[in-house]
Amino acid sequence: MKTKIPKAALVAALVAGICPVTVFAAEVRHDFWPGRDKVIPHVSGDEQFSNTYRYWKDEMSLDAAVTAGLMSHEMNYKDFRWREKSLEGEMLLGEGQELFNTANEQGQSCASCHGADGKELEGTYARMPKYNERLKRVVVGPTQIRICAEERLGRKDWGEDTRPNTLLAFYLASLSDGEIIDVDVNAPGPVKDSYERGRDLFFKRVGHFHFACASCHTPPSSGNYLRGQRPTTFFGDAAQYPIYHFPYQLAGDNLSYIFTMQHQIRSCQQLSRMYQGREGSAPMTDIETFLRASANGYPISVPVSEYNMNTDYLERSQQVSSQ
Amino acid sequence: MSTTIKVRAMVSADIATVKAIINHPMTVERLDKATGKVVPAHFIEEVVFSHNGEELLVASCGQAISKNPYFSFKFSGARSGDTLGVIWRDNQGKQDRDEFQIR
Repeated sequence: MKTKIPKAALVAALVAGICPVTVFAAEVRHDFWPGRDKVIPHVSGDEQFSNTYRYWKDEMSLDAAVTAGLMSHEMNYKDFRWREKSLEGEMLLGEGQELFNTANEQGQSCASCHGADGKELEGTYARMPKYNERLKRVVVGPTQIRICAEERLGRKDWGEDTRPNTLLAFYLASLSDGEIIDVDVNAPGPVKDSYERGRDLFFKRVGHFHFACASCHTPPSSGNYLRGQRPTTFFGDAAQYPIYHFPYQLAGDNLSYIFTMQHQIRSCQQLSRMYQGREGSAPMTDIETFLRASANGYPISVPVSEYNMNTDYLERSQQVSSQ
Repeated sequence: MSTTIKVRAMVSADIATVKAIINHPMTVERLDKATGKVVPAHFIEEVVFSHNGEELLVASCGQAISKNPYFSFKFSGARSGDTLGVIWRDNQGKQDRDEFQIR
């Protein structure tokens, strides 16, 4: 008896035999970027994603939402972190401040240029990343600290992922506490280009798991539990970085559990089996530009804790109903 | 002002919530890796919290408590503006004290 082979299958097999790479690439779809076209460089862009912005846009809205009995996951987990300052974080700010005022052998310190305790740097972290005219590139906070330390203080070992740099970034960000984030990505220029590259990287699928950042940080993944963690949409979260992230740290870290935005991106890359970028490198800077611009219009809140495992909010509905 | 103690005390409906953190290494006795010499233990033995000068809570601590220990408790009968005193003393005789306003 003659076996019937479907014509389509035969053609597919033939094509696969001749050019298997083409067929594979067509199925993987690297150009599948859902949500990328909905992104705007403002925190209210969350309305197009989780649509919870109205609950956490300011403290009053948050109070109203909590009183109404709204649960944390219904607010995209944006209700904790930025509101309550961390005592442990405040302890570490002292270390950053000390580093800021510590002079090198020539008697120079950060304070020599920027004023004692960084008086003149108040509010600057809200406008990072920034285009550096002299270096002809966009730099994030830690990169600016590294360059300053290298060129002015002769400290070659204050790279982006080192302890002094992280503590300083934490301290400098705290000087901008309450300041509204304002990264201008609307005017044509290098920062806008950086923003757009960062956006594309954020929605691009890569790595062993073939995840994009957006795989976890857009609905339906965000607002749900993901192996015990609670990913949120990418709007507004950058306002809390650098963040105190006890007890989580990457292997070999000695950063007192502080995560700068760069370090956080690397941590995410590690967890989702991507190629880990070097902190402060061009693509990593682009991603940070994208994330910080997505927090435009949101007040910085440093120091706060990433109480990722804290489930106190589950008891909140009982407290509200008993009052 | 003490640089080793940080306290946040807030009162709502007669009940005050106190959160305190003390900057302290809290180490156990161990050998220095490089020289092999004994590094003596250094840890807080006692923390005393007081409310308007009246002893409120005495915590006996030992070596099992972690670095930069954190204390949190609630007590009733507090009013906004009361003072909360904190004193700690460690096994090497060092001590520190500070007073904070309850908000």
